[in-house]
Amino acid sequence: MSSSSTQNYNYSSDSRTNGSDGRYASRNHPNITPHLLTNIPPSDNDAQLFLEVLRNFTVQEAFLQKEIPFLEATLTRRRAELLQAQEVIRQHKLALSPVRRLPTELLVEIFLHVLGSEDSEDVLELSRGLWPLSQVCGSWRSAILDHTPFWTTVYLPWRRQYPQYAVHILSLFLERSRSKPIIVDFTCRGRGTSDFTRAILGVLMSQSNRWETCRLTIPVELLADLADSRVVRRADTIRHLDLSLDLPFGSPVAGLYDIFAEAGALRSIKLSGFPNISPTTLRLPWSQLTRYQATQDFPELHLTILRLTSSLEECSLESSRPWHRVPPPTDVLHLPKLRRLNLEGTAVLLLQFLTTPNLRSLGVDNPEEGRIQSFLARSNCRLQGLEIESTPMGSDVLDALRRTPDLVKLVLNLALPRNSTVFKELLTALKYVPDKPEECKLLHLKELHLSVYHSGDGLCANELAAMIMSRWRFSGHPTAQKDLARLKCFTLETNSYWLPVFDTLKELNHEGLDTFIKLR
Amino acid sequence: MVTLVTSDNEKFTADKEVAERSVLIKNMLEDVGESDQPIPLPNVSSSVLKKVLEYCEHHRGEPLPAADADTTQDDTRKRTTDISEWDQKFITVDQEMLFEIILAANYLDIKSLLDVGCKTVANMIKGKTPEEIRKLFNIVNDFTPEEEAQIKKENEWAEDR
Repeated sequence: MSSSSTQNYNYSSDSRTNGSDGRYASRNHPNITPHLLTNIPPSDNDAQLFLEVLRNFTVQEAFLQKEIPFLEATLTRRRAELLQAQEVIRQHKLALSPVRRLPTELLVEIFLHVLGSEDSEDVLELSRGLWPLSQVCGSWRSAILDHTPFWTTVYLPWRRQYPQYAVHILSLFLERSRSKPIIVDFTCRGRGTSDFTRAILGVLMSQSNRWETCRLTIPVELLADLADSRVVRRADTIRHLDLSLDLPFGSPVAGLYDIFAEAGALRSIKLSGFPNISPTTLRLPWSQLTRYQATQDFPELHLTILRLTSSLEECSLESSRPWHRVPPPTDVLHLPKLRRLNLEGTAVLLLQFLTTPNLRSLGVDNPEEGRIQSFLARSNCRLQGLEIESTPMGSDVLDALRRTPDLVKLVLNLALPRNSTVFKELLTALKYVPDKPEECKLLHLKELHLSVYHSGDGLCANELAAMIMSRWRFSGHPTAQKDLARLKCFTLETNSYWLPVFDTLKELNHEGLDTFIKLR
Repeated sequence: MVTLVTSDNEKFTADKEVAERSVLIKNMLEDVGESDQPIPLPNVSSSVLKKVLEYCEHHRGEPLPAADADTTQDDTRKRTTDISEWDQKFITVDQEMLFEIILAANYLDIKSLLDVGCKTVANMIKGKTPEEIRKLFNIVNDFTPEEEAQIKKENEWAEDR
């Protein structure tokens, strides 16, 4: 049986011609597959063709055996070149990186944003705040160490336990603030202060000649440490002291604590946590104070201090218990420089014993009937700001407004008694009617903030909106333009549900009146 | 209209109101008076100026910060990193462009844009370790041996909690 003839063979499509080096060895060749399924030798013709194919592919094999290692070596070399190019690009990009061109002032600006936005800047927390920023590179470290203001806020919140190196860390922090005035904010709670706490306070006290603002929340034992320190007594740069005593409920403060008596620059003091503040418990430079804020149990003790603070310009007092220890004084205390006064809780009782001819802003909680009027009449002051909490609202609010024609800002926190008309009367008094300008109260008012708790329709929302409109849209009235100041800001917080008239009020925002309505 | 010429010699025209959000350009315009002369900005490339003008155009008409705002806030530590929605989208660029915008805003004296840039970088830094910050910004650890020793000590303290 002879093999099939040549013309029956299928030819592959490879039509490359043979080259001397074997590069193009493959060319058309007969289909050998049928011959691989039998043991019959090919015909002479086929054998000739097969021999030719064999010769060609032998040459190609030799070529490829030589070519492949060459290509492999080339590929390896190219891969290495690619890596090298990428590294050169990285290095040059690094060298040209704009982060390197940031001048120190921009780095400082960025750091200020990082520090200002973090929740805590505890000096002893080395994984936060300044510490990690100072460990990035030389220029960042220099920028941070050279900018001493970074190191002037010494914030030490309360810790149950201090790290072993707390004193070293604090000392290093303070060292980096160099000789700049510092702000100290130290909190220690609970009884039984540890040696560590005392050591920390000791480091702080050793720098008390640089204290500018000092906020301390400490137990009475540490108050004694402060009082025993001669250095602290003479702290001559401190301007503001915020001292909060962490005292178990019901414990009195016994003895006299002489803390900053010789601190010549101290002008502002805030005291809290003391059940009793008096010259016999705290020796402070009372006479030089211009700002005083204090919370203590009994209102009459505030009065004792006020007798020593004739230079006061701002004062905020709070007490929680009734006046009972001493009989009320018969004289009236004159505070000629006082411009802002805020009385909360039972401290409002002090109003009847004060005269403040230069007062510009007053805030009071639930004054007794007639107290504000008599105080204002006696002081003969020209109030520009008034804040009254009146719960329940009485007619004294309206009476007080009759005595404050210069008010620019009015804040009222009111609870309206059921069926009371007093709030409606207030709205009528504040409404501007062009034909009757003399009936409108508070012609200079620019800010009105109302917090109104009511039941039923006590809010009188339509009247309220009409009053606001009357003080905002009056441009057509020449008389009004002359007499009436235009309202700039109105806020309302109330327990109402949303009413259509609130939409009208909120639309005033588009016209330029800052209007804010919040439902409780 | 104002013509601005970038470091790569490209010309941009912008409304005077838009261009004057840059204090530098505003001062230059005041110096040259009524003139069509182009203003050269040799420290700003065209790609960066394009972004800067996009920002100024969006914030056209908004009040500019007071001239002394910098000095009053200089050493006060509390600053926020809040960025408005539009500004956040605007500043979502590659790191190189971000720093170029910061440098341009500083050079052109556009305080609000500088703030947006600095806040963005601050947000990238927050909560990261020094090593992570170095990696993020391609920063080389180039401390001197003395600095290294001090940092080592600080880290020993940090490990003791």
